[in-house]
Amino acid sequence: METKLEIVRELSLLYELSLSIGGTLDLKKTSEDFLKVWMRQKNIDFGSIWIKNIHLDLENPNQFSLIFAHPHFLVIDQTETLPDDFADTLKQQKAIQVNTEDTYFQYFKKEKNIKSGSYWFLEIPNLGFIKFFFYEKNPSQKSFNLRETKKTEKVLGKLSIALQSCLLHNKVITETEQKNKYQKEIKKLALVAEKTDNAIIITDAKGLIEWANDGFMRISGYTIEEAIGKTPGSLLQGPETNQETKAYIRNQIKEEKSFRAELLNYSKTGKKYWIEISIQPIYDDNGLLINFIAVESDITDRKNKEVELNEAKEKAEESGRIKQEFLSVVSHEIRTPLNGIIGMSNLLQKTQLSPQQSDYLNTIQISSENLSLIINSILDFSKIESGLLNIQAIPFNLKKILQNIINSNEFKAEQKGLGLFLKLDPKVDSHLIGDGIRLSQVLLNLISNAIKFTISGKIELEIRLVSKMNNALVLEFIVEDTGKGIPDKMQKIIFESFTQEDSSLGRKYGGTGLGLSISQKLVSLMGGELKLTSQENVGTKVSFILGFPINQEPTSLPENSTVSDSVLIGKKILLVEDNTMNQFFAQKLLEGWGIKVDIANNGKEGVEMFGRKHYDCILMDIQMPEMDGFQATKIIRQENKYIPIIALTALSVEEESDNFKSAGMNDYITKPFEAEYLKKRLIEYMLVYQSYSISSPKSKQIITVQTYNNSLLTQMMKGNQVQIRQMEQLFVNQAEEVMKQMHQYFLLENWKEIGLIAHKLKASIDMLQITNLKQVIRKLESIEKNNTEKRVVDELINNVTETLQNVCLLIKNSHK
Amino acid sequence: MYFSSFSDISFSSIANAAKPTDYHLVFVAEKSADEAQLVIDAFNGHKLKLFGGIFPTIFSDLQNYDTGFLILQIPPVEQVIRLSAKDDNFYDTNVDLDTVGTAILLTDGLMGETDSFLRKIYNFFGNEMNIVGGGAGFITLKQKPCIFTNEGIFQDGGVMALLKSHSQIGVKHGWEVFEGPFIATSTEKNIIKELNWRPAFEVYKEAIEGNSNYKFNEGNFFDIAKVFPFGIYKEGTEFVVRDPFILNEDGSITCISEIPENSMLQILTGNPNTLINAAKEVAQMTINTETHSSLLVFDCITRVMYLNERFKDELAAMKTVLGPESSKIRGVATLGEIASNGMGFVEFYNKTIVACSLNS
Repeated sequence: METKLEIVRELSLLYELSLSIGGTLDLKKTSEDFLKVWMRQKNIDFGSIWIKNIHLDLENPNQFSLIFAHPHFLVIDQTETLPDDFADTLKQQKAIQVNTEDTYFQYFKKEKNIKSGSYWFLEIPNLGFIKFFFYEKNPSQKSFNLRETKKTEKVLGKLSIALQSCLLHNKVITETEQKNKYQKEIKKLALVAEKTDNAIIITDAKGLIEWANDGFMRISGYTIEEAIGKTPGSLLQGPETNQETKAYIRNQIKEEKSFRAELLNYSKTGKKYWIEISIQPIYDDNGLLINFIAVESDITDRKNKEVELNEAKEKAEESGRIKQEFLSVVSHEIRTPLNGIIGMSNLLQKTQLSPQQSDYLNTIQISSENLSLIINSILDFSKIESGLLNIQAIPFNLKKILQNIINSNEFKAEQKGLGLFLKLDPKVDSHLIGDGIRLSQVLLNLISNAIKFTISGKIELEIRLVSKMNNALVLEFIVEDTGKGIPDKMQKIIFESFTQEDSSLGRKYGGTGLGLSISQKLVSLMGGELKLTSQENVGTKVSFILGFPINQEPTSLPENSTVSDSVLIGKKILLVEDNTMNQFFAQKLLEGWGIKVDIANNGKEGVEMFGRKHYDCILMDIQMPEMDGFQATKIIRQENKYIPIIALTALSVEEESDNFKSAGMNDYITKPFEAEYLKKRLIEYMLVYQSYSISSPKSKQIITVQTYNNSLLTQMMKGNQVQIRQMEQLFVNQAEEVMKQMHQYFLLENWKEIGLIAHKLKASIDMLQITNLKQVIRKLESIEKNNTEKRVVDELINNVTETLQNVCLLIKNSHK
Repeated sequence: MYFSSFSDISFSSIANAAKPTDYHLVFVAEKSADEAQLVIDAFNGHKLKLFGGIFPTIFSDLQNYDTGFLILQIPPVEQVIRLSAKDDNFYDTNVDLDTVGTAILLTDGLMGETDSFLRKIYNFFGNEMNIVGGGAGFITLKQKPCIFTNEGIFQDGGVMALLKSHSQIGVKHGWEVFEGPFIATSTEKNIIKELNWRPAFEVYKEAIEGNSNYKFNEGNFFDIAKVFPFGIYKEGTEFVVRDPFILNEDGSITCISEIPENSMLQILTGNPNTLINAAKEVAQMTINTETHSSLLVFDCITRVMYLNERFKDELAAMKTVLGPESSKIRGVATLGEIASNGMGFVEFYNKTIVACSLNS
């Protein structure tokens, strides 16, 4: 029987324990408050509270996790598993003591420094358990027994409820925090959706608007009330909305796809605006379509800018076209009077002149030629600028190009008392593939600059072999002079177009300031870079490095003959030309060669006159009032396929040649034309025409059939043997390149290119009166048009090659 | 060994008797506190190691002194650690704690956080070692630097010497229930605000005045309270004594250390005989088979004051238990007594006698 004091003590314990719980909703603190009271009163050495994981939403639901331990430093393991039978007994008895000698002692002995003593496990109903420990020596150990624990059963029940409240509280807190977090996020998102500049529309699965943001109202002008229940399409699309886009959108929505599109919409007031729309289908947890979210951004400005940009682009292109046309027109306008000047001065030269007059005339002629050169430079430059200039990859003979350059500048250099030297590395192969003409142009320009700006000393053109492989080599071209040099600060800008070192130089030395710029661009197009080093009053060195494939099949060469320009005598030519000056010049020139000339003032007149009378050739201006040259040619060609029609053009742009051809013209001559060149063309075409013509009985002449005949050339060059030889050499160069090209294009079966090559060669063949090839080359010219068989083309090319090789050989031999 | 004044101390002979690694435990009586620094300097001068504290009185054998010094040679010390009450990571040692048998802990007896400080010590040092000691300080109850090492005198926290030696500890006070039980219905740390849902002093006064001849009047609270401490029930042991020492204006009572809220309290009292008897029991607890020549005693200053002339009887009672003439009792009057017997918590006692015999 307990004493009153003992009962009071027990009551005090229960009182204190009861009051220890419920003071807080913190799980750990509740556990701590409860355990500490009990441990103090009962002098317990170690105590801990464990809760089953299932109540803590942790993994391994049947395990227990430590909530609180005192003293905590003893704890090693924060998890505990109760053996099944042990758990059952605990449930029944509410408390179990485990002493040192008991089986489970070792199992539960998980705290530091514990060797022997007594564990107590007390059930916390529906939740977990309390684990106590008394050291063996603890005097209070004995008084802790099942009777003792029974007294606290009810308090433990209360503890359980308190702990459950804590858990619930924690859960609510966590959930509330989570909810608050979500709500904050949702609020943020809602705010973003509401306040974003973009229009956001949420529709139901059928596409009817359920919600729209401020952006929608701002962009469309509709209120949400007006929009709800309608489809965005019915509300916003209008007559100019692209039907295809509408169909696309309908289709994508039908297939529940997410997509983007650009669309023209109409606002409430009927104002048109462009949107970029991005539509996303939204599904519920079961995968059922519930909404579409459409985000629309107003791209009207962008669209307008696109339009502006397009307009600007078109304008730029237009302005490019205009520039091109302007250049053509300007060149036409300049060439026409220039033609008159050059022509007239040529005619004037043939009259009786005093030495002073002859001197003046000479100046006029030189100036005109210079002007002609300048115009060509400008045209070249414009072609490069507009990307129309293509670099060829055809065989060329480097040594010949270099020799020609030296030859043609020797005189000028000599006149200034300058030495002009060529230094060519003997290891350099001569037969290369590339654009020999453009290379030549660059070198000529550099040499002529060097001569121009050098007062004394020498100019040296050096070609250095940088490296050589089996089938290609890299060369450095150096043009070095002992001229006035270029100051450092000017070295960069002289490459700019229309710039000379000093603008006053133009007056002193002449030139457009385009030469170096063109050269630089040509070198760059060929894959190199023009470099300049210069020291004032010491000299200038311009160099560039280019790589060339080596032509593995160099050609061999030909023999001699003559042609007469007597073929022109008595021929009738129709000159269709609106410019009276040109009319006069051409007429005088042609009549000087024994040709009879009729003049038509425009295309219409030309066609009429052609219908009334037989002509051996027509010279046709292009730009004329009433009917232009193209139109007139087309009409004439309907009647006569063979009569040579030569265009007289100031357009001079290579690409126009296709137009001439397609209009039915045989060839074109660029104004201002040179007399000799014109004559050459006339002879060439009229000879050909003779062989076709059935309507020219009286001008039949028997032509001696030879491999080639330079009589025509001799006539054109007025017997100047040097020039004749140069012309012949040019022919050889051209022929060699043509043969190579023809084989290349044959392998590619490119009939069009072969046709073009044949067309180019045609004039030369006629000039050298290579009668064997007269027909052949014309057949080749039209192989594309006639769908000629490959076999036939092969035969034609072999024929051309064989004959040309002979001719070249003959020419070469004659030059030895 | 007791020295009545600084000048009596022969440091050279202490140095001769000690190995360089030896520590000396030095107790300074409150009235000689001014010379404590001289002692430290002298120890440093002789390259001698020390730790200790200033206490209201010191006793050697049967004599209680309020002046002078006790310089004790103790078994080898592994490390002396200065502990701060404010820093949670206050301690760093490379001593293997498993090899420590006993720790002597001297604290600043008047620092505010003794309970939490001791909890930290228990959590850190564990329960494998015996911890024994007491609170240093002055009878004026004004906090001043009172614990020291070779580095100087300081206040707050404590100093702890780790010894390999094992020991036997005795703890007892001998105070008995005078009146109760009372429920501490409202407390705040060491302040009892309410007893039985009424102002604490009202109940305390009623209980004492109604059952004794003591009458409270202005200024005599402490004189009466030292005779009537509170006791907290603890299963299987004596009541844990809590010394009331300040009566607050609002009728609450401030004690030396914490009173758990809702705990059941008794008002205790003692008579010289039960107290002296308790001392005897304490001495008996420390007896073991191994030979020992001295007993280290931490006796609450209130016991010393209460027993007054009879205090030497308390010392004599212990001495009779120890028996041989050669055995010695050395100790101090403390402001709070500390003991942990290597199993349970480190407790902070009031009005208690804690004794320890160190195995050599």
